[in-house]
Amino acid sequence: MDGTIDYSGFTLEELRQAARGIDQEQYPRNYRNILAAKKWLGADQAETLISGEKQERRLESLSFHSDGSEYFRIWIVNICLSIITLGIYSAWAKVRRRRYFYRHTRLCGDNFDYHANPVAILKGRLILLPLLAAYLYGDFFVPGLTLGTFVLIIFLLPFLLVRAATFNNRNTSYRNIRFGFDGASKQSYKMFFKYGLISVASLGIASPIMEFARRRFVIENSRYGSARFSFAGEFGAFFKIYFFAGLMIAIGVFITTFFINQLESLIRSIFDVPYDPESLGFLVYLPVVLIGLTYFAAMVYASVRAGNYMFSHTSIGDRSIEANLSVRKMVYIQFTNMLAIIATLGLFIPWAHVRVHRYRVAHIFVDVGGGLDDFIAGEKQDADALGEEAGDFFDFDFGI
Amino acid sequence: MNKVDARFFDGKSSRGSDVEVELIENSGIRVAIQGKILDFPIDAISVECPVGDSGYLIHLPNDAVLHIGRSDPMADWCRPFAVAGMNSISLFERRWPYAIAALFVVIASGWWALTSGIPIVAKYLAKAMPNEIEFFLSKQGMNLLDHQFFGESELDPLRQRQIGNLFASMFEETELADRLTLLFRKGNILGANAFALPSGTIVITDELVEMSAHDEEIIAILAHEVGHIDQQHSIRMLLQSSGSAALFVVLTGDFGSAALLGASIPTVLVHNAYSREFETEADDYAYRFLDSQGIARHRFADILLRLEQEHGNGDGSAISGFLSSHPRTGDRINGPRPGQNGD
Repeated sequence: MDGTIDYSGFTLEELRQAARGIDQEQYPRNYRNILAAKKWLGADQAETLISGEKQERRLESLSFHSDGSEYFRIWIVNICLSIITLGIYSAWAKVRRRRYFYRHTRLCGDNFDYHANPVAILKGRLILLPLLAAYLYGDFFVPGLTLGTFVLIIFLLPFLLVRAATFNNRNTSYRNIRFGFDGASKQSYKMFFKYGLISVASLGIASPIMEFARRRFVIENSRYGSARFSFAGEFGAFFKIYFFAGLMIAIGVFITTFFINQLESLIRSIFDVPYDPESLGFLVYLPVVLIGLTYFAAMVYASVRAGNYMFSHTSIGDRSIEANLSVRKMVYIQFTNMLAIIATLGLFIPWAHVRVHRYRVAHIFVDVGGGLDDFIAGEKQDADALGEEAGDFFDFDFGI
Repeated sequence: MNKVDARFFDGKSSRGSDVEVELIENSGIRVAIQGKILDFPIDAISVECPVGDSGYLIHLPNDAVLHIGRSDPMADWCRPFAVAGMNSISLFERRWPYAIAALFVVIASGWWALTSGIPIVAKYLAKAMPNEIEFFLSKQGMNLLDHQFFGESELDPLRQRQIGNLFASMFEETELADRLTLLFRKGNILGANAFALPSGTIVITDELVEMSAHDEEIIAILAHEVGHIDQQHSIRMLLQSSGSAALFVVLTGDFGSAALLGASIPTVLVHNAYSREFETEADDYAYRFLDSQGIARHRFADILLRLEQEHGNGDGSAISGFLSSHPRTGDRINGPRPGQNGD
């Protein structure tokens, strides 16, 4: 009879033999019980593949194991040290902040880690500092310098993207296996040129395709150890997200401007306020606030949905990733963060970062069926921090 | 028993194993890995400090690592092996007293930078800037004012010429004499007002001329505006505001949206404080000028009081004093206090 054998007394080796020998078609329950017993004996020793049979898919989320007050101490001590050292320590501070987040983020009980060399970051910053100064203040001294710097950065962007992705992946590890990046600058320039041209030609309507192509490029050239990332998404679905975000803003602006005028005359007629530009002055700010909030919600919507879409169509080797962050929750978190940061004059920033990170990682899932033991280290890579720091300085998003 | 549980990763595959690590009399560690006992002398390993309570990382030869949880009571025997500098930083990061001390250092130095450091740097930068920038900014500013607010002056051309001549003769001995230009405009909703553009152009509204009871009052107001130009207040304001935002981003070392939001808070607060300081500087300049020309100080006070009545600000509450961009009129009409005459 199927399902009657008790496998709980079996050793792992006996279970393996049983799994190989069993006729799955005839005894599906027994087969499932064997797999369950094997999993129970420890994912560490289990094999992903048994004589060509693929393991069951089992999604597990990432998790974050720390709290805001622990991060606050790290954050403030590092800012203080950066001040005392006149900014030199800021490179070390950056590494420690990242390391804090990576090391407290776990998957299947083991944490991620961040390995960037602070000296490399410091070098990158020293190279970029004159560029940033020229960009921000150049026009005060030499008219046109700001624009010149901007154009230079735009031309370097494809190159910087590759450097940033290489640096970040190379310096990220899980279970002592590094991530890596194989994209080449040449491909990156081709991609920027092609999709940049499409964006311009469509008068900006198709501009999300640039964002889509950039993210796909980063994903498809990433690897964990020797396991390459792959991406199976399409631009149509991605474009819809940005289209709805644009629609949200348009509707918000329309409703606000249309109804504010009505509201003003309504209030005047109900409360019998005589016409005086001062008396209902607050109504001037109302549309600004409402449109601002709509814009904020639309931005969160686009970033959450686009992130979900990209993650959920990504696989590492043959293991898929899923993400199901909720727009409503994220709007709530970001909005309350914003209020708290204002109310505390910035002291809430560490808690704000922890809240967002905790929520985000808890809604990213990886197929860990059969354990995560079968990844092999890839080739070693060297990377400088130029691209990564440029992303920081000029506020470009180089991430997935 | 110097034994501690650890996770071992060989760096070749993602397989991790639970191992036991034993400390041998300060000479090294002994690890039991997959049935084999391996000894690592101290100089073959390096210990990495925890960040928060993330635990210690021991790097073994050939890219292998041991990860020891901080929660393990034995974990702290790793400390003596770790790099000394990072060890103490890791300690600072975990204890509240250090964090509170750091907070005070950050607040104090931030305060110093906002109130002294940035203004001083901005002053020197403003001096170093080429004049073209001031002309460029002024042209833009004037276009905006003309387009948005001003109307053509309806003042009698004779009166315009009279004030113009007075202005020219009064200020011909100042260093700025050949840059100063006086323009007349109708203020409309800006009412009785005067504006100084960094290039040396001063705009006075018809309403202000009409409000004045004596030509010396107009001179006093113009002297205040010349003070703004002399001290390069527009450029310094621009530099200081962007400088305080940049400072915040650099301090927090954080370039994300949360930091940008945080950066906008001090910017708003200090903008008004900077503005009040500049007004006081310009007042000081005006009083000194009046003294040098033998004009009674109350001329400036008289017109300020009338301006206040028209604009209805400066009610004297602490909040408006802090948040408003002009100093309280009560403070302004008493003139420069002793010791505030410098530059």
